[in-house]
Amino acid sequence: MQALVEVKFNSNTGRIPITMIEGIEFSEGNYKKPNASNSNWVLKAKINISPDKILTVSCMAIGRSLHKADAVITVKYRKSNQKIEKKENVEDDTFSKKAGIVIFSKDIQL
Amino acid sequence: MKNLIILTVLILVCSNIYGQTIESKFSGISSYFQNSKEAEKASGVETENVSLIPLSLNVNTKEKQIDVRNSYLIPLNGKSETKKVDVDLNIGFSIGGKIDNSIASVFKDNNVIGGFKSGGLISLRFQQSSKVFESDEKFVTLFKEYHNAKAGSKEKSNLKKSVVNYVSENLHNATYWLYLSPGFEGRKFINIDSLNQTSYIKKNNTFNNVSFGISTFQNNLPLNFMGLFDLSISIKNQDNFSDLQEVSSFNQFSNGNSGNKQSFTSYLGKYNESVKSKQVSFESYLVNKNLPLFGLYLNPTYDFANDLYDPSLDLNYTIYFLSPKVSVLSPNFGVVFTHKDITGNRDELFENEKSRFSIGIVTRLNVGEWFN
Repeated sequence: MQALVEVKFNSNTGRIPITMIEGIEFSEGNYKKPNASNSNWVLKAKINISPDKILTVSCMAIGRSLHKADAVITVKYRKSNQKIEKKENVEDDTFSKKAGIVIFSKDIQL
Repeated sequence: MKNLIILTVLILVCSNIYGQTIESKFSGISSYFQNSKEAEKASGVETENVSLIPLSLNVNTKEKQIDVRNSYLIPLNGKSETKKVDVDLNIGFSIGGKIDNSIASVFKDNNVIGGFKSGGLISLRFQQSSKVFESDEKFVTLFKEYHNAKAGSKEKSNLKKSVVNYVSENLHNATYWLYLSPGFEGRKFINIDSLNQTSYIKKNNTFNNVSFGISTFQNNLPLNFMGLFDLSISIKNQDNFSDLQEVSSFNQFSNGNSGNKQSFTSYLGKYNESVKSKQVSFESYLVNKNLPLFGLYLNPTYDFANDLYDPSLDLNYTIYFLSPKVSVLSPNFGVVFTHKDITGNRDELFENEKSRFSIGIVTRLNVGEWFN
């Protein structure tokens, strides 16, 4: 089964060293960078997944700290011929306290 | 101006081509997409539409101007796998209009005096590359262990701390810019030499300026501060419009009916079309991480080598109001306080101390030029 996984970081993020989804490493070059009409860093990846399992998405990014570096993970897939969309909001408290480092690992039940 | 438009179109085309480059590093297992339409097509699911107009609108009541602007980042060493520093070329433009008369006279005389204002930017941006971490085996191993550890376990929590500590030790979280910025401005108004004269002269003038500067963003300053600093030199060719006095004039038509009296705004005084000067400007923008909704901007500007006047020092300071949802470099708006000629070298330009001081609103961070 295939799913479209979208990882979206807000504009407080400046660099994306690594993202892991289903054992695949994604780097900064895989993200669409912010521009004047969309201030988010966006990764869109088509991933082979197993139904009825947990999808783990882990990210480490660097940014201009201060406000929280929010991330939104969206997984879209079809199950029993129905469109399913799961959305997870992630906030990492270490970001503003440390030197602008955001790190999280999110388990999403499919 | 024509060349600027052509350059802008070329940049738009080039950046579009660059933005659609797809790498196939992960083909065979899964895919990733920089183009949302391609991802939608492959997955068979619908995604939301985003605005395709790559422009931001800016309003500045201090300068009474409104403009649209955008900038493009082009990586210069994007292919290098071993780079320690990202070097990017930043090209930008802005174009807009400005009002020169007072708001009161717009309503009173029913006419707007003003012109256009446009600018360009070419800069080099330097910052530590993500490749420093992507190609670091120890980091990647540590991160994989963190990814694979069981959610909520103590091991996962400890591994998170280890990754943060390792990255903190190797991170230089700062950005540096080196830039050149030309600007052009046009103005159209009616000039009158003295109140005793009845001959009005239409003036149509364009002028230009160029700035060179260095800027830096520092994420980790002492006392929990973060901020931007900019030092620039500007060479300006302007007019002395700000020295003229705004007066309300009128045309009385020959039939003498009061209904045929047409009022308009004109500017009294000797108009000098070309006043050359040089300026050195220092700008700082500071935000304390313990007060995350406010930013303080400070900008002394020293104007020297002026064709008409002695050197003078202006001081601007702005209190910015920030949103927790967007970048610290994109505040919601700011209240600007301006003190002109604080050394009193140009007393002839000011009626009193009050006239040296003004307050305005800005909707963007005006430090140096564009930053991203």
